[in-house]
Amino acid sequence: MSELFSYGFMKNAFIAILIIAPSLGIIGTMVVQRQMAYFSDALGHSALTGIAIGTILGVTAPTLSMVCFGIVFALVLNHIKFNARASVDTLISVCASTSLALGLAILSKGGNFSKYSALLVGDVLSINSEELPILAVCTAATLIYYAISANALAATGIHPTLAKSSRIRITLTDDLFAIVTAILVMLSIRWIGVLLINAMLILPAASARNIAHNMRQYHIYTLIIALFSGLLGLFVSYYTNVATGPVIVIYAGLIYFATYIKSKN
Amino acid sequence: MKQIKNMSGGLYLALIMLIITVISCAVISLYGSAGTAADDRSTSVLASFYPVYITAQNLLAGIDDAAVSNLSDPQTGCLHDYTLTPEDMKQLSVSDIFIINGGGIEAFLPDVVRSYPSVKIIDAGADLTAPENYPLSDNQHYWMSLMLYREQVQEISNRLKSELTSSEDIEKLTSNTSEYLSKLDSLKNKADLIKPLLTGTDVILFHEAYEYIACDYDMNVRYILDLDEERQVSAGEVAEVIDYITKYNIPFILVEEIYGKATAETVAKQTGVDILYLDTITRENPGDTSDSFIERMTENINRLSSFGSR
Repeated sequence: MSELFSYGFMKNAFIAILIIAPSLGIIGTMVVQRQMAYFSDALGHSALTGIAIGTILGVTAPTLSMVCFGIVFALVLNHIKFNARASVDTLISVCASTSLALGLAILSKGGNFSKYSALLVGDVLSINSEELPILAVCTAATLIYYAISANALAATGIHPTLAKSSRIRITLTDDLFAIVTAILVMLSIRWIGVLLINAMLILPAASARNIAHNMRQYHIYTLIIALFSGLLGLFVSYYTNVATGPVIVIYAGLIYFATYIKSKN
Repeated sequence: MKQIKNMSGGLYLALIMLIITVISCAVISLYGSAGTAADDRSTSVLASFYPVYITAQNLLAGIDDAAVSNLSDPQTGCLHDYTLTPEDMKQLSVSDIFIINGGGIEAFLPDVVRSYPSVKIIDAGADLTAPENYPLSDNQHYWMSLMLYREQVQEISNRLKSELTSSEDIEKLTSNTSEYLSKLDSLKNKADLIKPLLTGTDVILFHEAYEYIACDYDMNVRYILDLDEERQVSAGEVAEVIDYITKYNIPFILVEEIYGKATAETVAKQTGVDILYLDTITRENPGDTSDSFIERMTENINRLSSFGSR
């Protein structure tokens, strides 16, 4: 085990997982609670579109274009959710597919797809010590936001009309949550990947929901599952030489199935 | 089932995690590797992918102080979207020299430079000189041109010389370099012999790597359909290829078998054009040796010759 931490990249990845997993897990609790899994999936897939539009506009920093597009896309999805005349799932799916296709089309036309295709699976091992403080600040901001807004989010998620009668500004609460989720997803995507980010966000919370009896347990179990699958995934990928992101998600998936069995008994 | 039902959520979660951890430990002990141990030899040389690895093997053959290894799996192919694995990071962390093809093909290089500042990087593509028609800036498959590959070999050798300390090793490197360059020169002579058969031929390429072959043989490239692992072809592009084949009476298309076969066969059925499969030498084949570059490039020349003489 000591040999494992003799490598700088493993130390950084270990710290990164300690930072990223709780913030994604905590935001995930509300995503699952509010039945927004499809929303966050669509958001993750829109990262490539953000980059593609950024390349057209001449934005050289892909993270900036991803975050900006992610925020706009999240707000549009939110608007659709509240004003939909068709099934929300269908509309979000249409938006996500169209957006992804647009991104792929622009990137493949410009010959840039190969440059960004690594974003599909991400690479938590490439995180360096200068990037860790940025992640830590984002996580701290996310947790502070969550601590302040948790009650309002829970209320708007469970019963919007009741929340409105308690003078909670529903649209503002929802839009803020969408923006925070968008920023967190877009900032984490480089290390976790477009294809896996939603799993990291949803699986720990969905598993916790299967076995928790109250909100406190729900949050604690989510944190434990997120950290457990993240760290065990990192260690196992080190010894088996398998890409880290997929191993983490496999563990989170196994836990989900195990808790699902319990919830059905 | 009844016990599961009665178990508290926390206890159940702890039990799941324990089982998963035990199974994972068992899997690791059966299939896991303990890690890359640093080689005892004084200089550890890491090559980014197969063509660079073969070059380093040839240049450092018989030099006991230098250990050569390949970063990526030999079956990786081109490194366009390569993601470093924990094993790669371990290899990098114990390497003294990292030899790359350059030109941006190793997209992960900035991460390496940032994470391992002490590793010396030899960029074989940094100072290439070539006639104007050679695409040096936006296509990095330099090893496919015998002229550019020779320059790369010379550059790697020169840079390695300054890293080796023993005069014996330097002498061996010099003789290895001469031997390898003379093999490349013989290959170039073979290529020059068939060049008149191909010069001026209109061709369409189904992989950007062949642009260098086309330059070496002065072929006219009428269209490049760059097919690789992450490329999707549009119907318009296929139609365009068919139009170009008809318009310029293209006799054959140069195709990479893994990525281009399906599209090439579709186009061939439609137009009757011949398909010439060429090896991009990015993957290790079973039975490959340090002479594989020469052998596989010879096979390419033979295929080109048979198509040129038709």
